[in-house]
Amino acid sequence: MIITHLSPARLVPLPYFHPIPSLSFAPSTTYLFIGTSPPPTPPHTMSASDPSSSSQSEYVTLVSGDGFEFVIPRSTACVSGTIRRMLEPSSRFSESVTGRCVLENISGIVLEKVCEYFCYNEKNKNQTYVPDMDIPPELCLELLMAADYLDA
Amino acid sequence: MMGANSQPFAFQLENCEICGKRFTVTPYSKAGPRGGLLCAKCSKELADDEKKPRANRRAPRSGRRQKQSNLLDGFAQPGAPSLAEMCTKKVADNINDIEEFGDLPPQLLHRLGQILCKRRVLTSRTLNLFLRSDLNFIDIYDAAKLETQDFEKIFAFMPNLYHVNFRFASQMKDKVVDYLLDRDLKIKRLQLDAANLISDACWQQLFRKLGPQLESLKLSNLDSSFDDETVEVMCRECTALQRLKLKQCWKMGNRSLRAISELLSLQHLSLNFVQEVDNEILLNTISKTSPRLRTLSLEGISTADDRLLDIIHVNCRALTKFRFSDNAVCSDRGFVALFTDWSNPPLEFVDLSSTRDVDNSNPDGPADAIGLASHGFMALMNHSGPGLQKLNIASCRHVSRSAFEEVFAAGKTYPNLEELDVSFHTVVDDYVVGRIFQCCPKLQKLVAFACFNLRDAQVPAGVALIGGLRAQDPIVLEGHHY
Amino acid sequence: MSLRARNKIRAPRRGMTGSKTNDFETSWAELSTSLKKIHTKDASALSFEEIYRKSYNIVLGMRGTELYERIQQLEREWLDTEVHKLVTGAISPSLLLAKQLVDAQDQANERRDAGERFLAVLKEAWEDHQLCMKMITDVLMYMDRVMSTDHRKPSIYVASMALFRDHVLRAPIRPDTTTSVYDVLESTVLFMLQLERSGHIIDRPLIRHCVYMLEGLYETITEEESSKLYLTVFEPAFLEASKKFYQAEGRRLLETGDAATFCKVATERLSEETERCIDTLSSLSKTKIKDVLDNELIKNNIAEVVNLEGTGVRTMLDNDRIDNLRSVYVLSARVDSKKTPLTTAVQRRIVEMGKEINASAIASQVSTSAAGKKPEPGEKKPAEKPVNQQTVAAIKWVDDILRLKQKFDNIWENAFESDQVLQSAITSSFSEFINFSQGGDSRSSEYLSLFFDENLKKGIKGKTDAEIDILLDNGITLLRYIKDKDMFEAYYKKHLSRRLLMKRSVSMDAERQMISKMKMEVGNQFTQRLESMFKDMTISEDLTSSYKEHMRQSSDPDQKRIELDINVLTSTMWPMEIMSNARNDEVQLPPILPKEVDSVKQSFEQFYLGKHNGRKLSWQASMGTADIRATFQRANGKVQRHELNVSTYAMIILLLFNDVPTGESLTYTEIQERTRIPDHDLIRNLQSLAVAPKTRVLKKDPMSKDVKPTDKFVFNNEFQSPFMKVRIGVVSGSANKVENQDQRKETEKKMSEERGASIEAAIVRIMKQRKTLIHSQLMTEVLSQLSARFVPDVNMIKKRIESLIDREYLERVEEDPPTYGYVA
Repeated sequence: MIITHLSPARLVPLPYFHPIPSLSFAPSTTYLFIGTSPPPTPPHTMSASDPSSSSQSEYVTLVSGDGFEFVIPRSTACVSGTIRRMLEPSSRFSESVTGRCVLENISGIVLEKVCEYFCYNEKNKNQTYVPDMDIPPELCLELLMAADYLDA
Repeated sequence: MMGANSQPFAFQLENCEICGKRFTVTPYSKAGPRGGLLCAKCSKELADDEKKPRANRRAPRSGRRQKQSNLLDGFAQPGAPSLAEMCTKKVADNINDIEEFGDLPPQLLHRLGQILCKRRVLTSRTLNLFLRSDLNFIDIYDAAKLETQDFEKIFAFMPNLYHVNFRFASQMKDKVVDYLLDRDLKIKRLQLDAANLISDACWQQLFRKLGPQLESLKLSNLDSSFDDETVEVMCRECTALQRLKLKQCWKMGNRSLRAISELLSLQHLSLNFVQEVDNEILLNTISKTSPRLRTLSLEGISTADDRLLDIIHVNCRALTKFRFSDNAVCSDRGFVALFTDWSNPPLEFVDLSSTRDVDNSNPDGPADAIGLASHGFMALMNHSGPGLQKLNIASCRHVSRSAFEEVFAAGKTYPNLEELDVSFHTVVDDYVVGRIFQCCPKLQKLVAFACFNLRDAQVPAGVALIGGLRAQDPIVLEGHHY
Repeated sequence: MSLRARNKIRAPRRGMTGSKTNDFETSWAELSTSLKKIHTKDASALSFEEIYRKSYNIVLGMRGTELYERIQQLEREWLDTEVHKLVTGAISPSLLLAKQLVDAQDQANERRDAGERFLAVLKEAWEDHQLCMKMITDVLMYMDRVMSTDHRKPSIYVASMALFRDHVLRAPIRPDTTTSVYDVLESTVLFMLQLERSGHIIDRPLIRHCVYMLEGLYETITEEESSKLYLTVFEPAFLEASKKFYQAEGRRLLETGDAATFCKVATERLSEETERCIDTLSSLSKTKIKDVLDNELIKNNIAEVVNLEGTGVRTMLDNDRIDNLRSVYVLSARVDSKKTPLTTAVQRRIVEMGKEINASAIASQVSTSAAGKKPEPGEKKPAEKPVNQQTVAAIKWVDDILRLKQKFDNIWENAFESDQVLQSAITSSFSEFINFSQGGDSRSSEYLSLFFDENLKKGIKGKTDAEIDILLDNGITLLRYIKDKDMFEAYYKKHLSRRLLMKRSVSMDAERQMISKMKMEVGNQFTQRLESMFKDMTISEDLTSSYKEHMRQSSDPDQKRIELDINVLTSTMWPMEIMSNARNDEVQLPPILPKEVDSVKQSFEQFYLGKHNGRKLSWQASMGTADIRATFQRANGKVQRHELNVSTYAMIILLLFNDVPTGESLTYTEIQERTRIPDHDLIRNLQSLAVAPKTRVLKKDPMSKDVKPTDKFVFNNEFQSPFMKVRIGVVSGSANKVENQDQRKETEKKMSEERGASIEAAIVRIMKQRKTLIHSQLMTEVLSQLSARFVPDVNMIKKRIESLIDREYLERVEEDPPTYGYVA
């Protein structure tokens, strides 16, 4: 995983953490914890039928089309206009109830990069100088499509 | 260089001061800590050692150069750019490695096209990426690298085209136009720049064929093609034309201007004549077209006088964009009359740059000011202040400081103003600029070239101040360093 | 960046979106089902992502415009059928009755209940529509973004709001009528407001929510502020209805005839309407509804309210109804910066009350002068008691005015918020009645001077400095109102001179304080002469003591001397009547002084003229006093001594009796021949020596009050007094009192002469500077130069100009316009 350069972010690899090559074989969950707040309750302990807990939850789960899960802070996910509206508590769509967004047409590898961008965006909020974020050329078109889709 | 004289010459053999090895001196051999020479390996290590702290010194990169560059482009928003923008640039960086764009949405294609054109890499090869039969538009902002057959290819591959925009399209020749006409395309919007090899006969043919369907026509820099007769044909044929822009076509004159008055559906009219035109004809054309106009742009019409402003005042009811620049005849009083009790709603875009008296022996101008001066400026802001989004009053040199103070007095707000150009207003100083920032909450870009009294203005975050002295100084300094 | 050979970049997988043209209908079918579920509040099972992705794919497949149209169609149908049915279903027949007024209570209640039901349904429908469209817009944001950026179409949200406007609000309630849902809404809301204005309680938040709807809907798709439905249709109707209501309310309140009630209600209505705009309607209407109130309720009625018989401003002023007056003021100030009706009423009342005070002062004067004439016609001396009453009337006049002033000051401060306009109105009214003269006879200057005189002589006894200060300030306040300040000065000078010469002032400090106050108020020039009177007094004191010193050194110390206290007065600075020896234009010879006194007089003259060569001293015996020791030989042989303090004339008279054997008498004529005291003074002095019961040092035969030339006077050895020192005042000679008619005439004559001189001086001053001047300009300048002292009569100025031309100080330079030139 190439997210180590998110220097202030504390990345906690979980036992389920899979390196990229294995992505296509074993869909899994990645937890991205930013800042010093304690790790959240893992999603599976939450009751999906209890909307209050999810609407209060600081973390949301983004799921790629090929089944990879990314747990990131809600505010970070809301860098994307699409996800922000998806999670809008007043809208009462299923995503806002469960705190889980399945992004059918985005692959795990792209979604990971998208999550990285969310963190990058949060970190550089209101900075006058923003260092470049590394985007692998082979991903750039797909990432561009995803950015457009996610309004990010 | 001076110190090197005492050193052994290049290609001499010498013992390394650090490791003691014998080596051949080259012009790149470094001096050691005690003044002796170092071998290639030790030189490199020393150089690396020197580099590291230097790199560390510059570690908290402020990115000033990049920032200034962005500033000049008008970007001053803090924080990261959008992911889409970053990816678009990345795609542009790697354009030569890309085989196709796939399902890329039109608005992204358009932005990519802009970036590629700006970088001047829109070639025959990259053009292919944009040729998608399902798209009905094409914008090429720099077609200078395209060949005649490239243009034909566009029309061949894109049968649904209705919006065509080629700039610097010098290879767009009669042959291409003929091909285009053969293809029977449903083009409604046509914009061509620098297509000066198309003959008048060919133009006329184009208008006869496409005329009735054209809604928007923008032609510029056609140099010595496109004469009065062609304009007359155009005006006869293009009866549905809503938008017309004609700039820098040398042959166009009074006849053209008269012909334009017959275009009864026009909502947007932009004219930039090279030839001097007759004032009466201009007044006639404007009075005929102005009641419907939403855009009126008149550049470099040096003969126009206050009567033109009066016609606009009397006729225009729907104008949102108004450009009237480079004129030294219309008076401040004329502008005051135009903007006072005008039934037109507030304008959104105003460019009155370089309307001023030009007499270098009398830089203050006559007592009855010429061009947009203090009172005209106040009347303009009074009328259009609430609606204005972009305002250019560069070089309206008779606007006084007190007029600026009045217009940007405490308590006044211009809620929609995003861009303001006050270049060459020497009365604009730090105080006035501060007032401007106070009064314009949405301001993103303030252009202030040659505002010599602007020294140390406090620029709010998110606002690009372009051309202020302070903004330029660091660029020059950095230029020396590198 | 270098472009090294690299793997070719993958294009996003085509087909992943799965959107092909024939899929459009399938996708749309699914989408429309989802959208309907949103409308039926069944969204929690829906996945945002799924709907979003479908619309994304459609837009990517270049069918965005179609999708946009379909959604509009779907919304239109939804509104036309479901929402419209729901809303119109809530309209009960009672809402369609075009009843303006709340006539029958039952009907009103029924209509209100029906109205609330309808409003609640409409509000619900609107809020649902907003919420659902927000969700739909969110979920279709990709389409919305592309449509608004690439195709310049309004957001689907905006478009659907316009659909609500046209397909719900502006749709007829039944196919067979033109009455729209909006019409019912408007009449219902106005009805509710009417109810609330007549004191009922209504569901404010409900109406507020319906107004939110009207504020959220626009006439145009571009949604300019000014095209809010609230502003284009509802507000005009609301203002019109309010106008009618307040016109009627104004009439109704006037009919009740109580100004205080009117003001109270109007004030309440004002805050009520402001509150209504905030709680029930829209803040946008705040200023407009205030205008309606100001114009219809206040402006149109305030004049009538102010002048209401029995309850209007007059009554409020009379009863010091500060709160009511404040209401009137606040209301007036809203509609008229000049507050004309209020100002006029206040002014009218001040002048009325002021004239009452004037009248009562004059009445007491008339009664006293009538009383004074009673004893003997042709007799100059009025009896003592009525004179005092007259003075008392003058002082009462001042006190009354001060009370009136205090009353209005209090009202001005507490009710009129210290308003400038009212202040100057009050000032000018006070000035008006104070200077008001019946038949050219304004006694205010004299009265005021008497007020000061009385206080400086007696009134301030035992008062603290602060109290004195306030007292004097009050007087100064009145002085401010007096236009003819020269008249006041003349009286003050006269009264002051008596106080000084007869040492009647209680406190010299207070006197000086008074002068400096006047100086502050009226200026230097005004007090110059008064100050020089004080200067004469101090110089005289020094003179007296240095004369005493001179005498002690130059004469035999054993010889009993007559002590002399002397006041040397500069003749021009003191009042004329004190200084002149002439009475009624006859030259009066100086009285014959007793030898010993005469020698003292000569000795002093010698001393004084020796010091100041070229001066002329003239002696004013009528103003002096003398202390003499009198020895009374009782019949039983005992001797009783008293020290008598008498006037100079009385001293002369008494000394005559030193040469008269005991028991022998002198007749009036003899006394007069031997003393040459003027009749007027002689009579008064003899009265006080022989008639006044406690100071009867002489006996008169016959014992009558009057003094006749044939009366005989004899020294009264039987004089009794419990005091060692006896002060024998001169009857009515020294007390300052109101002048009688003759004295007044004389004062006025003098005044007019003095004014003439001042006017001439001013004219000459101006002309000397300007050389030539047009008549009207000269008039203006003269008036402005003199205004601090008095208001010159225009005719008098003209006469003076004529006279100056006759005397060749000026000349006529031109006739049209008349212009004068200065003759050097």
